[in-house]
Amino acid sequence: MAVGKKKRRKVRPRPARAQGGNLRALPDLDPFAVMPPQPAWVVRDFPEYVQGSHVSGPVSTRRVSHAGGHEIEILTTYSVSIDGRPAPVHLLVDSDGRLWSHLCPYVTFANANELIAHLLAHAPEALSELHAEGGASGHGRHAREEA
Amino acid sequence: MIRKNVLQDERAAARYVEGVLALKDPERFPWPAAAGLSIYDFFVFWHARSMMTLTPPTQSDRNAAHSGPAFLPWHRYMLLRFEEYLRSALQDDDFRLPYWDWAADAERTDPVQSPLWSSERLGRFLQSDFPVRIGMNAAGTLVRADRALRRSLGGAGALPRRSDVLAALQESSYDSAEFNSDAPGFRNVLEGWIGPANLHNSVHVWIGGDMQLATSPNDPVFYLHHCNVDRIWSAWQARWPQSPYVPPADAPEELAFHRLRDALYTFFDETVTPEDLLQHDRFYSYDSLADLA
Repeated sequence: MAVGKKKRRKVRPRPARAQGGNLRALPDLDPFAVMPPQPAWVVRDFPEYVQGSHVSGPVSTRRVSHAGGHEIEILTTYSVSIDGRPAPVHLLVDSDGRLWSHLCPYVTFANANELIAHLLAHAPEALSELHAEGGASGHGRHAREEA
Repeated sequence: MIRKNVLQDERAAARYVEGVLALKDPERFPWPAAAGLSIYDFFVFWHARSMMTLTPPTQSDRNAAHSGPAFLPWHRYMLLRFEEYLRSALQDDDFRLPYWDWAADAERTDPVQSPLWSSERLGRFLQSDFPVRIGMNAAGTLVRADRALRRSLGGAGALPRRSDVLAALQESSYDSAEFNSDAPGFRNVLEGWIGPANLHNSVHVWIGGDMQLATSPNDPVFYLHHCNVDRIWSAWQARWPQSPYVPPADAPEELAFHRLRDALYTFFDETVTPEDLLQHDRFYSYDSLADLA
């Protein structure tokens, strides 16, 4: 994992606000934005975590440091269609090279075919909802933009 | 203040159902961010948004609350805040979340027949007056929903057994480099990325339906499940008092959101760190850890 150095964030206690006298205040944001807003402190202290990158379609990048001093980068692009219809299913690749998705984040798969088969068997509603909404594209914060 | 076994304490189960129904009501406990949403729905959003926040964004394994060291303290924090709202809804300062000892149900011939799923307990939430309002489309985007909660009990996976939990408690280190879903250590065994039983993850998969999505807190069993996960962490802390939380505060920046003194991912106007949460008995205790000894 190659990450640039940045200044450490100082942790400062901040008081909790009350709502209705007893309840903590909830954020005022649009939860249904394509990319819902981050908390203000994340925006301030971790701007690179906010911007992400936007590409068309699911893309995942793995970087592996080779013992011989080489750095290997593998860029994988997925284009999924089901019954001839485009299905831009959310896909990610973990550090072990296995696929996962927010549609099934508690299990990983050896390949995209297994993941899609799992969704068809156990979460067919998600795929049908995609078609009903006209096929939204994947949100790009999970893809690493190429320099 | 004691967190009790939901399988053994009918009053705790009934109070939990009552509190959740209240927090789900946008008239009584609104989340003004969008029309028709409730405080209950905010917690669904918070969990899903944490999962969308890759830490750091240059990889796609560890996120702000999963597949990394913060998995256990972040969920302890989330449950504490949810529990706080439940106390307000119930007007009961002594109320604490109950836990679901899923390893006990795993011993049943048919775990689906557990009383937990009866219409008086968690089966109650399958009724039309408990709609899922924050859903997820295939592209991983949160979308407005208005449908009944989905479950598919036993459709895939298996509930972990007591022996699986006891085996996890043999892990003497909390976590280790690379601090992700491959890392050896107790956190990762309990989370379920390594080890034969896929402990926490397997419970999500066994319940299925909404519990298998990033929006899994849509199902109120989420909190009972994670309360048990937290109980197991508590038992591990008691067994290995000399094993520190890692990574420490001075670990590399790429481990931000997961280090001892990092702010846990939150939308509340406060800073809570893993260090703040290591002693659970500041907030609650469990009625029993005997099954985990």
